[in-house]
Amino acid sequence: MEPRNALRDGFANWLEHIVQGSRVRAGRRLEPFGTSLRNSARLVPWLGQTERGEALTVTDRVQAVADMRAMHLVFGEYPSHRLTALGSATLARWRELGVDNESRDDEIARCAALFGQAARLGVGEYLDMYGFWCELTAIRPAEHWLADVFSLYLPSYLDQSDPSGYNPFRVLIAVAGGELGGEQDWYHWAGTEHDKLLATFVNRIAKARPGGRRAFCQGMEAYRIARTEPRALPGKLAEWGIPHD
Amino acid sequence: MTEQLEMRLSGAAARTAAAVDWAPPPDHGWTRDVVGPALRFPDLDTVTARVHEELARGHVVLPDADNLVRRCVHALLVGHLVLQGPPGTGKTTFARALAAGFRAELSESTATSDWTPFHVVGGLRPDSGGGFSASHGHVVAAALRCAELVQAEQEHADGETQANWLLVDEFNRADIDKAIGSLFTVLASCDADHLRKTPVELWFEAEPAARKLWIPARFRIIASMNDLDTYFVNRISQGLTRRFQFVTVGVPEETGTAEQPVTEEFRQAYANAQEWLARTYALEVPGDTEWLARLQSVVDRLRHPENGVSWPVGTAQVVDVLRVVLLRMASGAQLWAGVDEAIADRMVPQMAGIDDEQASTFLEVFAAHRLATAARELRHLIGAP
Repeated sequence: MEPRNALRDGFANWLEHIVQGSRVRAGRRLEPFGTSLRNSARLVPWLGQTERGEALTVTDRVQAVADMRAMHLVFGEYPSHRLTALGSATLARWRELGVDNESRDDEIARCAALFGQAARLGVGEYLDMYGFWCELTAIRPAEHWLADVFSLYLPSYLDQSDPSGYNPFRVLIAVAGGELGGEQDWYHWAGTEHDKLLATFVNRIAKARPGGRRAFCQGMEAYRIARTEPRALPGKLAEWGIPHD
Repeated sequence: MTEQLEMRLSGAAARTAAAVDWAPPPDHGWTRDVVGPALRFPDLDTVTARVHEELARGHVVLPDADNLVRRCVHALLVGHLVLQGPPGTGKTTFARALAAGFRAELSESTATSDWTPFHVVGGLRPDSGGGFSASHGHVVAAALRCAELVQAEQEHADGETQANWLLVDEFNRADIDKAIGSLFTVLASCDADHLRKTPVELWFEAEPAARKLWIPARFRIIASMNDLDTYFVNRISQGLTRRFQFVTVGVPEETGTAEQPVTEEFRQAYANAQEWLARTYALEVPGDTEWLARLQSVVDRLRHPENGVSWPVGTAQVVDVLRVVLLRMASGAQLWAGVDEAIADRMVPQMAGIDDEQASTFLEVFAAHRLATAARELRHLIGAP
């Protein structure tokens, strides 16, 4: 069943609620990075500098602290910000693993370690992201969601409710067995109906920048596999192209 | 083997796996590939020299040491070994020295009356998550470690350690036939052909690939057992006896003489006690050892009394007495009174179970050496007036 056939009448009202001008509400989170921070590598020097009470080596320090605060890695305002328990634990774990570097090869390892520490400390937002990820991977294999930008972001944008309680993600789970549709389906729908709101919605998803989210979701997936089907992890890491020495 | 290699990670992949606390799922199939190599054995002289070096380092003097070491080295080249003898004769130290002589690690365990196949082979253990997880028993854990060492040698050829062995102290404290019964077949021989056909079944492993473990031909069990406490130990069946070579470690035969009142055994025991005192409490005592000859005389007469009713005082018991004596000397106690009390406190309590003739003989020995406290303790122990 195509999403347009499954979503019923409530979708138009929902779309009006989440698309306001050029802005689109982002929906449910699958990664902790702020819009100005798209990978963990940048956090490595910042967390170290915060630990030592040094100035951050970045132009917009206020924004950097805001990004780290949103991730629960620091508390307080710049320049009196300090590491939270999660910030300290993450930095320590990165050092322990030898991934306290800015290498792209270790990006998934850093994300996985960040998530692992958040899970250990019970940081609710991270656990919510993991719960959502587990729900998605129960519907389709991880590779389906990691395949392209659209698949990676669509569930998040859909999984939000309007004031009437309508939630298209939940509708597609209940009615279409979790078939959310691909990029082409949604563009086709938007083109057919000349729906400006729908076009804005689809464009926003298609133009999202996937780097941080993909790595973080891969980190959560590695965490999930290690606990549910450990034999599969080495093959999965190879499939993702994470290099061996 | 191939499957296991696929589980090995390095570089960023290994760091990512570590970040999610990943551990390779158990798979013991590779142990079949490391059954083959026999013990590396340069030559008898080299191995026995190493064993003697280790014994000297531990200040242990064994009776008829050359012959004893040779017998045990030969026994281990063939299979598993039981060292039997009175308590305190250095069996455990000897087992460690034998392992060192062969460049083998030694996993040490002590049998108890509670031992079952769970302790020897393994089973399921409740885990913190409310479920059950596999737990390896002593033989399986030690054999697995042995297999890892053989594999490491095969892959890198740079390991001096060639094997891991298992030491089971107080072997007959356990109902060992019951505990070890399921391993009877595999223990029958250390030949590779036999071991390839007789993997140990690990029924409790969740992963099917981990349910068979092949024991390397280099694996050995050295058991020690006290053959004196017959009231407290279990008998060993003929079936199990056939799977081990039994060598007796007795007390030294040499006694003090007029020309040489202190034997090599006592000199080594004294050195051991001094080292212990310096290492543990940073204390030193003067080297006056006239009293050592008197203690030697006491022990000689307990071991070899004129009427032939002996008590096998082990070297370890002598060391225990010497440590107490040296501690008391270090705190300024009267010397011979200190020896008397040390014998009373450390040696006499082990005389429970002696017969009337032995008691009478030992009381005479104590009287002859003016060991009033030891005599009083012995009378108390045997209920004599």
